[in-house]
Formats: sequence, structure tokens, C-alpha cells
Amino acid sequence: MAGVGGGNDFQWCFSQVKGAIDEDVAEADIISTVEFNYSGDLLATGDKGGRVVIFQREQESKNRPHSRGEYNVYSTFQSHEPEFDYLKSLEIEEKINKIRWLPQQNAAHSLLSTNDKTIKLWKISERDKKAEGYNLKEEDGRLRDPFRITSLRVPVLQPMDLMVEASPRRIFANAHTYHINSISVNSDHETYLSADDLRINLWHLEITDRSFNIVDIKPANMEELTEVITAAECHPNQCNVFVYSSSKGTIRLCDMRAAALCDRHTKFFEEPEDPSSRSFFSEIISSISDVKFSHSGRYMMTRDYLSVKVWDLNMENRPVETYQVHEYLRSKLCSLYENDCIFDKFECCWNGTDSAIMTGSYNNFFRMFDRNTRRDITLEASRESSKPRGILKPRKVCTGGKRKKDEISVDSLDFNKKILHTAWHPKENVIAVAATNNLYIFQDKMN
Amino acid sequence: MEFKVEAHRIMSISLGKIYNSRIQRGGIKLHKNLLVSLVLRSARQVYLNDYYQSVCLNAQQHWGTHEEVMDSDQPQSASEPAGYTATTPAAPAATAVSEPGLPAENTPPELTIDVESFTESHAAAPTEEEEEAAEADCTDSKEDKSSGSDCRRQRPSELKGDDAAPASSPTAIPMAEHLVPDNQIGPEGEEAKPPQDEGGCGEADAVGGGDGDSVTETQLDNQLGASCSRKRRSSEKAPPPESPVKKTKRALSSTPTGEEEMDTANVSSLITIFGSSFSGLLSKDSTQAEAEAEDSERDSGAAQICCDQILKNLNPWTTAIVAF
Repeated sequence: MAGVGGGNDFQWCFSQVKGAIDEDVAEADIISTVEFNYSGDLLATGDKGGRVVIFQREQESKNRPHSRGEYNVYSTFQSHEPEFDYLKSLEIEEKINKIRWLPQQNAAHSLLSTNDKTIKLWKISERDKKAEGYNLKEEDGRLRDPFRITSLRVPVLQPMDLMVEASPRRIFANAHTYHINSISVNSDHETYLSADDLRINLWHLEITDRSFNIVDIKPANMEELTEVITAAECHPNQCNVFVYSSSKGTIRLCDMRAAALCDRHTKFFEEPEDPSSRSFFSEIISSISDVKFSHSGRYMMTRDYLSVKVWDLNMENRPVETYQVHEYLRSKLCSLYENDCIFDKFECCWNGTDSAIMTGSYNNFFRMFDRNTRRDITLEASRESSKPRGILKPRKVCTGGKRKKDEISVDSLDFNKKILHTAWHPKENVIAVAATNNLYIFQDKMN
Repeated sequence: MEFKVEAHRIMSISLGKIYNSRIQRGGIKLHKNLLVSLVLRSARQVYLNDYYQSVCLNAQQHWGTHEEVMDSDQPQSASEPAGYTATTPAAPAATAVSEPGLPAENTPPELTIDVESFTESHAAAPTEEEEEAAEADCTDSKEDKSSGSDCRRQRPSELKGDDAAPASSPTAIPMAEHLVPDNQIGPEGEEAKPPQDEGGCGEADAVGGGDGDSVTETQLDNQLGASCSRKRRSSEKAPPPESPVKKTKRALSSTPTGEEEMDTANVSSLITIFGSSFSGLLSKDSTQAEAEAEDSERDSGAAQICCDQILKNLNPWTTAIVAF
């Protein structure tokens, strides 16, 4: 069975699932972001309760050479707490909107996590040794009576159980009036940008009390507001370039060398709207929910409600590829508007070689598109289809007419089970799919 | 026709979403509210287009008979702005006129300006939709009074399926009736309404009645909020205090829907607030806009912006926000 993401014999298998099996899902446990680090050994998730859980891949054991290492919990910490803005009488949610790993510079790992208003830089470090034999204090910490010390000794490092500590090293606060939707680390590894609905700020990782505003689309009169920023990302190679997407379905590429305030874009990407498909909800479904550069930096991908588009940075007037994720929902837009599903912000991701892209859908389905073969596949993240190393069976949605066996009709889709966040290992065919409060890890079948 | 019902439904759903967003955790989401307001605007355009087409059909039936009668009213109505507390400029009129899909050729600019002129204490704020309705109403005003009012009354009755009171704000009031059963705005709206009603009714009626009976019809056409309040008043107590208003009512021979109408002003405020916000079609003067811009620095959503406005400005939005 031809698959996506690799050769013709490629198939995806279930590897692990993390999270409670309980049917009753606590709101705080809902995963809100998933991100692999640069090496792929660490996988971070953030949830609505403000917690960050980091999984680490165990070393491939020599006993089972054909099995990739599993991801186990490495560290868990509370990144953000609910806050209250007394001035505006607004509650600030602790939900983690985005996590972005920083490149590793020493033994410790660092990541940025953000909620609606505050970005924090966390350092996750290991401690597997402790010093023993202090002169001035006992092992339990009590101070020794100085008069009782008769000799000096040098403290010795003794091994201890591995302890992973997470500490907030920087807190970047009070720079955003509106809700932060994106953060992106620059390729210079010194700066990063944060974007809210109307502004984008540029930060230095070491400086927390200042940030530069580089994009401001707030109109002088808020009544004239017609679009907001929905996502922003730094270019993977060129540290002076970044893009931001808007709720109108446009993407602007900006060059920070051109001006201090990048209100005037360098490139403007927009596909003309198809007038025949206009409806009440045309504007909503054209709003871009995610934008991601390819690893090469040549392409970028945008996700709107019904499709994924790949753009060549050299061509602004239309995307080079368009993939329909769930076109069968086009006739259901009114119902999706009523139940608020039309506002769901799906993310998308590239694989390590930029040959495939992945995005989520409803009913715990997620879709993968192979850019070379133009094949696509729909898979489901569910406990039922999760046998250890079991091959995932492709799913199909029946759009009309006679429903074949194993197909699911559009009306049977569970719109409460949505996959908004997915991540692809930067080097291997391992994917992490967040289904509400569960994290599924799938990998390719190693033949 | 189907479009109109669908548009109407979408509008009421949108308003419900905007209202609910105020109590959602994490503050008002600007992006979502912007999208909802865009949907609201699209639905409203479709709705009014449909309405205007049906009105035109009715208008053509009565055109020949009463045209000369109404022509004499035009000059008087043009002088009305002086009598009103004008709180909005003609700019919104211009923008409304240029709004796509709305035939503007029959709209005398003076009448459009009348739409904008609202009394301060009135519950319904001027917006494009009222301008549009006024434009639609303008053709009515050229005909027989009764036929015009029949047209207006037909609007809500088409939607509600009963003989509703004259709804000069076709989108506002029928939508409100859909919303009221949902009990989303009911309690708060009812609390806040009575004071506004009195003030609004009194002032609007006083101003409206001043120019006499012949233009009352036109005034009623143009003052959407005023007519709302008149309807409310009629539902609250039988005899309206002002004689011109009484005459208007008799001329309209309305059958108010009673308590349902009482809550609609708040909803019409909601619609006007969110219908005009984010759309680039200003319905307030620049000073108010500046105040908004300042406020919006502290706010993260449309409702907040409006709430802050009320603290700073005395304008039609005031009562709208209070209602909200």
C-alpha cells in the first residue's frame, strides 16, 4: 500500500500514546502546542493548564536494533499561571500558545514558551551529581558548628539519581497589548520575534526589558480594522527576513534591513479569490491559521481552514501547490460557524526533507501530502487503531452517494475530536500528533 | 427569500457569539470577533439587498398614486437635521451610499443625513444598516404613507410571520426577537432599557413631532431608533404622550409585538456597534474615533472599545453601551 513521506512501501505505524485514557477530558489537559527540538531527541508539549511536558527519546537499545527509541517523560513544569490584569479587568489565560526550542549551546536545553501575554525562556538542565563533604554544612544542609571543625576537606562529586530541573531564565513581559499568537527564533540565535494580533516585536534573548516593534498594523481608528496578524515566522537561513500571515489570507514577507519598522512589506503573497465560491464565510475560511517556512527556506506553507498551500518565495501571485484537506466541509460551513469549529486554527508542518507536509482535521484525522508523488493519505489517531507497532490504516471520508465499507460519512465526523497540532521529527519519519489531551507518536515501519 | 432567512439567522448567531465573547475566559479575542463581524456584515448586506428588492416591488405598485403627495414633504425633511442633535457626519451616509449592492440612486442625500442624526440618549446608534434602511425607506417616503409603512411592516412580518410593529430597523428588530428567546441579552437588556426608552422616546418624539404630521412619516422612516422607542412605548403603555407620535402611530396603524420589541433596541445597538466596527465604514465623528483609538490601546476587543467610549463620550453609543 503506497504511503506518504517516503518510498512506495512507506507505511506509518503506531508507536506510543501519552495522556489519560479517561473519556472525561479536563480542559487543562488539552494539548495546545507540540514541538520537536533541533535534534529530534526532545519533544515538548504545552497544554491549556500552562504546563510544559518534555519527552526525551531513549537511546536505541542494542537489544532491539530495529526499534527506534521511545519517548519518555523527561521534565514537567508549570510554565505559566493564570493572571489577572487589574487595569483592564481581564483574565490572562495560562494556556501555552507556542513553544519554540532554542539551539543547544551547552549541556542544558532551552526553550521559549508563551501564553497570551508573556514569553518565558526556560532552561532545562540535568543534574546527576551532587557535591558531598562540605566543610561548613552537613549533608542535610544544617550548618556545622565552626568550633567543631577540626580539619578541612575538599567536597567530592558523587553520582545521584538524574534530576531534570527547569528554571525560568528570562521573562519577556508587558510588550503585547493583544494576544500573542506566534513566536519564532531567528537564525542568528540571538533574537526572536513575537507576534500578536496587531504587532510584531523583535527581542534579544538576553534582554527582557526592551523589545523593538517591527510591524504595527493597528489602524489609527480601530473601527477601520480589517485584518489582523495570525502567524509569523523567521526565515530559517536569512536572519533579516520574516513573514507574517493575516486573517485576510495574505502573507507579507519583510526584510528588516529595509527599515526599522517593517510596515511596508517586501513581498506580498495573495491568491485571488475564486468568485464562484463566495459565501458568507469566505472571509473566515481564507484566514490563515499557520505559516511555516520549508527547511530549505525556498518555500513556505500556509494553512487556511480548508486547504494547505505551498508558496514559492519567488512567486507572489499564487501558490505553487494547493492541497485540499477536507473540502467536503465546504458545504457545511454554516453549521461549523454555529458550533465555532470554523474558527479552529489548524497548524501544518514539513517533514525533514521538505518532501511531505502534514496537517490535522476532524474526527482525529490527520492528513499527509507527498509533494513529489502528489499522493495524500488520511490517518486517524485513536486508541482503537493503536496496537503496538500496528500499521495505520488509511481512512476515507465519504462525501456523498453510497458509503463504502470502512468509509465514514461527513455527518458522522466528530467535530470535537480535532487535531490542531502536529509535529514532524526534523530528521526521521517520526511524527507527533496531539489529539485533545493525548499525544500520539507514529513512526515509519522499519522493514 | 431563502437568502434572507439564512442571512437573518446568521446575523443572530453572530450577535450571540459577539455577546458570548465578552464573558469568555482570557478576554475578548480580537481575531475571532473581527471574523464574526465580517460575517455579520456580509449577512446584513444580503439581507438588506433582499429586503430592498422586495420593497422595490411593493413600491412600484403604489408609485403612481401618491408620488405628488410625498414630493411636498421632501424639502421639509431636508431641514430636519437642524432639529436633531446631529452626532454623526455625512461621511457615513456617503459610505453607505457607496456600499455595494445598495441602490443609491433614489436616495436624496438630505434624507440620508437625517438617518445619521440621532438624539443623544437614543438607544440605537446610527450605522450603515440604518442608512441602508433609510435609503430603502426613502423610496417608501415617496409613496403613500400607509403604503410605505405597510412595506416596513411587511419586513418584520415576513420574517416573524406575524403583524409586527413597524420595524424601521429591519435587521435589528426581527433579529432581536430571535435572540430574546435565547435569553442571551434579555435580563441585562431589560434592566437597562427602560431609562433609555423614556429618554429616547421623549426626545426623539419631541424632535420628530415638531415638524408636523406630514413629515412625521419621513422622520419615522429615518429615525430607526426613534421608531424603535416609539414601538416600545406603545408596548409599554397605550397612549403615547406626544400627539405627533400618536398621529404617526395611527398613520402606521401598527400592531406592536409588545414585550419582544422592548428588548430589541439593545440588540439593535449591538448590531450597530459590531456591524460598523472593523468594517472601515465610520459612523461616528473623528473625535469619537480618536477616543476609541486611545481606548483601544487599552483594550483587546470591540466590546471593550465600545465600553470605554461610553465613559468618555456622550453620544448615541452611550445608551448602546449601557444597553450592552
